[in-house]
Amino acid sequence: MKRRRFLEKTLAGTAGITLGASGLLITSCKGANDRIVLALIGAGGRGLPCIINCCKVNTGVEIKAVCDVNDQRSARGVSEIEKQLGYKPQTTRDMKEVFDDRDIDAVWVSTPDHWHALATIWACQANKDVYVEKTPDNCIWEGRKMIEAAKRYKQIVQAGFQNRSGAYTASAREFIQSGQLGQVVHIRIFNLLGGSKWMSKPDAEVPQGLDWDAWLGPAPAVPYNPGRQTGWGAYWDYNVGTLNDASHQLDLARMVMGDPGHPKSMYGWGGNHIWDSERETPEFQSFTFDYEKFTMTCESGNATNYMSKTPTDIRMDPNRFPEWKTNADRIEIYGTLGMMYLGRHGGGWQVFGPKEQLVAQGGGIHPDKEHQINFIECIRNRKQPNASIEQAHLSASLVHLANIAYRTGNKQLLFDGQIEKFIDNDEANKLLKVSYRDNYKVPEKI
Amino acid sequence: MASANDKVVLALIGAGGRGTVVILDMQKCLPGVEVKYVCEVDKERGGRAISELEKQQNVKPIWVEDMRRTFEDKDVDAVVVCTPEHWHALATIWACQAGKDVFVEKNINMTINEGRKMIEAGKKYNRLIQCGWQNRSAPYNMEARDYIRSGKLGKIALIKTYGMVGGHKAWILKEDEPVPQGLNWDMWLGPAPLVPYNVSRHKSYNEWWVYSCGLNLADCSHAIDLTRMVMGDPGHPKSVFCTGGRVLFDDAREIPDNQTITYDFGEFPMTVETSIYGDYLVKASTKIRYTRELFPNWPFNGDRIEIYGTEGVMYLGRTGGGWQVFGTDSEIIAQGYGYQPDVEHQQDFIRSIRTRKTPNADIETCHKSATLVHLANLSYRVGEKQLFFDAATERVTNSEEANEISKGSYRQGFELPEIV
Repeated sequence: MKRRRFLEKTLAGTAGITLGASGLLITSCKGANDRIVLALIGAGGRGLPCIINCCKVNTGVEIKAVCDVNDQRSARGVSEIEKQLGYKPQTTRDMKEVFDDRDIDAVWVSTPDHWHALATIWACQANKDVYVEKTPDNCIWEGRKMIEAAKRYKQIVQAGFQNRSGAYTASAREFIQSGQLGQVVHIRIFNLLGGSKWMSKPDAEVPQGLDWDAWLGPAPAVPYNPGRQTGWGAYWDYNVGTLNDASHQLDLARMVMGDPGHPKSMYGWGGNHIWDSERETPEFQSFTFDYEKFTMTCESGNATNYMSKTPTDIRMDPNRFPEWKTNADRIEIYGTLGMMYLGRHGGGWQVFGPKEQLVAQGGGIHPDKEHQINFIECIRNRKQPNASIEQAHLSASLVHLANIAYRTGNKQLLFDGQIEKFIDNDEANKLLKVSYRDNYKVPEKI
Repeated sequence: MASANDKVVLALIGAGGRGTVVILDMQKCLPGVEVKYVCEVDKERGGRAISELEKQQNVKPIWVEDMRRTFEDKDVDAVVVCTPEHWHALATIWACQAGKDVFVEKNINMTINEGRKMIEAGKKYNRLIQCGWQNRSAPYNMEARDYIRSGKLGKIALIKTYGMVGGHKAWILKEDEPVPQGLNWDMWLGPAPLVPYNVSRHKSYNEWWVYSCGLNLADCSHAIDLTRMVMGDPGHPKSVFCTGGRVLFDDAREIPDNQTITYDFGEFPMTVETSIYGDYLVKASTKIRYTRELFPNWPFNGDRIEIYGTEGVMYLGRTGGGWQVFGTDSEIIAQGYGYQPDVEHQQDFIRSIRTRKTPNADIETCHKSATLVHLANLSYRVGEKQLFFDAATERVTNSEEANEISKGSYRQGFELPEIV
């Protein structure tokens, strides 16, 4: 049994933040039924409902603190948690306070992507387990450091690739591994989202209640800009662009294919020719990975408003499948005996053979819940989670490879997966690692 | 200038399965067409073409072994080149030099340079060259092109062209043998290197780079050309990347059984995915091809084209499959039924001969489609490397190996002329 302590001193040291008494019993342990104390880092539209749901679908899981650099968000987080779970967590702007709090077993990192790696590594160093949203990292190099941190500090790091916890995705993988699809030759991934012209905004005064410096964190210091804050998807400093969403399918495709290592060669195309947006990240991308035994392509972008993701009702209904033709985020897997259409987030899978015959299918349910259950189980039993950071890193690397191919001029890249470096390509190698601001450096040595 | 009803005299060069069908249909596609010669290097072939043509036109075509005899005959207005691909360019150029118009089957040539020489020959001798990509004569494809041109599909974000069809078979490289009786093997080889007779070369020429562009892209070249057509015939791409290999029968064949290709057209990418494994993807059925009331079930249609615009996605079938544009919730926004357009294409050729109008599948336009095929194969053959292409010089700028392969090799007596 590990007795926990509430670090009043540290918390009290935070300027301008009131940490209300939690009202929680701060004793817990990590037995199968013991209480798990979580903290949310980044209380946005994805993180907040996820962590609340995680508390609902597991027993003995509580949220002690909500950390956000935006006071409005933490206030909203607190009120939402109070409404749904019946208690008020504490708030802070500084995630380091969360790490210093020895009551907290695990953190839920749902910041913009540029913070993911550093928050995860700091958490591991503070002996916290981590649930980190996709895309788990902002460059290939820091993904490797996250793995090292999880290993060295023996922490559970579950990435937010929830498809890895789906029963239907497991059955899709089994179907492929059984050989019933024949030899898989070709995988085609779509992430054809809608969009419109994106224009940058002028710099402005930092809004009240926002710690802009902390929001930037490891990213370069720039004046406050509302376009950066609310449109961080448009900037390389904060994320991977539209591939942030495609990373789910890339990860799911890797999963059902039995988790292959890095591809040896890839080609990536991208451009801002659809809406002529003023964004750094491309509006549309098309790329191909050469896995030697099979080829994987992906098309992703913000050009096609008529395509739709699998509707919510189908995501939750295992007996229904999407209309594949205009399904925006499907995976098509071509084997020598049949083809599989596979949907993410509960879309299910269907295999078709000669004469348009439906050979097999597996209905799906959105696996967020299972993924949250798996995370808590792993915290308790110390087993590797379904979306381990090792696999998540390999999946995220596909995103980075595609972006680097675009950023170096729509080029083919040859990648040495052993050392995670490009072969004879200094320009590309420079993009393997982002630069970090002082005090926010991902450490070379974990 | 010839008038609309003037007699057009043709010669068929290469009376295989496709050549025979083409010439029989072409003879009867319009009145006043007569086939004077059937040229074949194999005495076993051409019999059916001759006997059927005799019935159709009441004149028995003359069987000849050497295509040059057809070029020498002043009566012949045009030749129909249906040989294996390694002969296409040379036969076309020789025919132009002899003052004949040319219908040349796909793939229309073996290298980018051959395409350029064919264009030069057509221009210099004022000849018409119609390529065998018949989709260019289909009204439904013109409708699809007009639809895209009108802007109704919006800005084009992505083009995906497929040539995924089954029917792949095991293959064994046979021993060399004596030349079968009646076959002029030397003439069959023509420009290709002199090698002993081998049935695996003769009957499977699509499995060899020296005689073809490969089984995958021979067929898929139709869809590639059609894609260019409906997109308003864009110029050469900036670069190409092709990966692929052999999967189902990993035997001695040089030709891959699957290729995944991306062309960089600057403002949009075009992918081509080809394969010959698997039997679950099929071409449009005969019923779809020859009626105007059905569309393919697209996910199962192996040679479709998908064009993603900002306003909808167009599914376009190449073998008479028609086109459909889908919007939100897969609602059909617009559509046009299709019909296999072989006859229209033949009529267009005959009319062009008579009126001297540029044919629908003119060599200058189709050269760029063939270039896409060649660039993909070059990318694959130099080790699945991205190749950058200079449109002005029509040369690969980052691989001398690719440019070397691209030169081709020609036997003495069968050289591709530097100056046509």
